[in-house]
Amino acid sequence: MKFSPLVQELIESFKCLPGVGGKTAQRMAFHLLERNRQGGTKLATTLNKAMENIGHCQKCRNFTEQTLCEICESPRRQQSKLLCVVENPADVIAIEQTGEFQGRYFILMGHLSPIDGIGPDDLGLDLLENELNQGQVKEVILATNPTVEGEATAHFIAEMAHSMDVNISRIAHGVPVGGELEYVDGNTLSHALTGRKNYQV
Amino acid sequence: MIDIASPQSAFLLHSRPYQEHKLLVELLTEQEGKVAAVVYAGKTAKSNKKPLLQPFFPLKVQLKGKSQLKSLQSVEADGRSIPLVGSDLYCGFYLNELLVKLLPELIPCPELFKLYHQAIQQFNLAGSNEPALRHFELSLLSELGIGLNFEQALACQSDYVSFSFDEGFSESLKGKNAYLKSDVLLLANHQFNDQNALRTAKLLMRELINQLLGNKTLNSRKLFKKEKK
Repeated sequence: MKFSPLVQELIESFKCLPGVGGKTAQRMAFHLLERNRQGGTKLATTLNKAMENIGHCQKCRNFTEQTLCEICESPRRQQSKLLCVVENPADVIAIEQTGEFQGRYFILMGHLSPIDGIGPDDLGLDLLENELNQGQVKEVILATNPTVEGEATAHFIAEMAHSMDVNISRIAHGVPVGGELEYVDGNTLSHALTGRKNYQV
Repeated sequence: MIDIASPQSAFLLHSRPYQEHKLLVELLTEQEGKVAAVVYAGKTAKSNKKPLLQPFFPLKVQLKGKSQLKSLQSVEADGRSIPLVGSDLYCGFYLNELLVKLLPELIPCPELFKLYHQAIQQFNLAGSNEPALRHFELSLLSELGIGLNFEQALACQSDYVSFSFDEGFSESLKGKNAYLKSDVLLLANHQFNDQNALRTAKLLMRELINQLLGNKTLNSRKLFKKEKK
């Protein structure tokens, strides 16, 4: 048996979501049709609005429907003269939740990965270079992921920023809070040892 | 019958996410050559294998399966990771990209594996990476069945020679790149002490590799260009 064309199309459309295959898509479609029409309509209008209006912030490349995102517009954050470079918008949220950081962000939307064909031009590094050239930033914090590609990206940016009058720092690597040394992998542990700090009493 | 091979040494060349908690990895293994495999990367802190599944980290792996795409049964660290930074790291990426794009899957190449290991260890030491790179490129080419017949070059009369895949070395031809014969002959013995010979080797290798790649490009080269600027 086949579904009517529109139902089929709805199911097919759900499949574009990550981790959603045929069966899940079918379940989602039936759920909306049978139990939650209102939610479905809301999803449709929001999705439509979002897809049309959301772009990238002109300064930090985060997703926003305005030209500048909220963080970039805030004068208080501008004053701190700190710029944190991260890979993904999700990283911004993670850092924001700590409440530790009061500066601005720059989002690369990925990392250098030659095999996947992602080069320096795809990460908006020209935008970052402009930003640094304007002299509004005193310190760049490289908060790319602690993977080999993340390190490569950090190094690339550090080289770029080297000639400019900015401090460059990299987030520390180490043992997670509440973790057990026994279960930490050797790589992390050796990073933690080489990057050890003086004990302040 | 479940077919689980004994543990063997391997390096990860490339990984990409697959489904929710899995990775599709390409490995260079000691016994089976280049292998593509699926691995469950784990979602809890204790089962997470992602710290291990990084490039330039000597691994011991067990592969399972009879099809082209294996599944990675176990993975363990085999020695310390080789910490590459900066241009050394870019060189490492270059090797990985070469292997991913040129080497066919599931053809045993223990010699190449050894050379790969040596090359990245060499990058980690001070000094120029170029000899190690050229050495590896030459070995990769011969592994791919493109042996350079240096006797042909020796037999040439003039000081300059050209190379083509069909004919091998010949007298320098119009419209083809010409290489200094004496430099090419140094290459035959893997001698890379001379700067000029190194340069010639680089240009020759680049021509060969570009032809092998066809219309694919090597993205890791872009990293070097930016760096020099």
